[in-house]
Amino acid sequence: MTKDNFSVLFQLLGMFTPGWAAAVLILCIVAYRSPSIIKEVFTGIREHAKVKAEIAQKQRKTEQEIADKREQAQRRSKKAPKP
Amino acid sequence: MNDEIIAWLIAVGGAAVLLYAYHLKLRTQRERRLAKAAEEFYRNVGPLLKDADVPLEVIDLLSFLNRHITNRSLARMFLFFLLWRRRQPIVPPSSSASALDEVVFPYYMEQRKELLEFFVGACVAAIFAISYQSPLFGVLLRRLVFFDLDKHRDRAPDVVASLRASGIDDGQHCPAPA
Repeated sequence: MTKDNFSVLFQLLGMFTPGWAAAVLILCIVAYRSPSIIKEVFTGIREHAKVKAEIAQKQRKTEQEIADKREQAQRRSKKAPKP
Repeated sequence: MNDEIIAWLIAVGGAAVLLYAYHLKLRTQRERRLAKAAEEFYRNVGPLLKDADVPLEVIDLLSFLNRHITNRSLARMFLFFLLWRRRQPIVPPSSSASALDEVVFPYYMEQRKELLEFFVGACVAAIFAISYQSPLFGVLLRRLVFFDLDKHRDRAPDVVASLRASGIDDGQHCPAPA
């Protein structure tokens, strides 16, 4: 954007009240960024569900392995003679 | 006057949309790092659980880390504990410092040295994964506590010297303090 473009933009914004100028500016930014905003929202939802499911699955599997191992360790400690 | 209020409401709504999108972007980055740390934890836990003589204290510790890897408040508790030494009731009694000193560390440092790397890797990955669960306290925890001392040895020569004296650091990575 050149210096002339900026002066045109400020002239346009100068036609509005401060509230409307802020609203127009922010709406322009939202419209310009909308493809990446939509992408972020869908990626965020998808990644959140994926990570949550992956960790929950590994957590359950490891908890089961730990339970088996604890049982083995307790059996071993019962069998081993105490010093 | 009414028009002006509507304009400000639109501006605030638009700003909220932008901030929410930025928050989602940061959350996605954080969750990807969390997934990576969790994967590292489970990769390291595998060989530890295959060990036939693994002590009960290690099993308790791994179970604790596995259960709390998705705990959102543990990063805050860690930070408060490390800053003010305020003990939280969440830590099981079998994972006490004495159990670590008497059973866990001697087991991996003397008897099963080949598994030491997996044990340390599992603990570090779990702590990092827990830190990624909290957006604010996790950042503070990583910034204030979990940083690589090796990269800041010129800024903390006393800490490096005390680590070397305690035998934690072998002196290969850290030069003698000035």
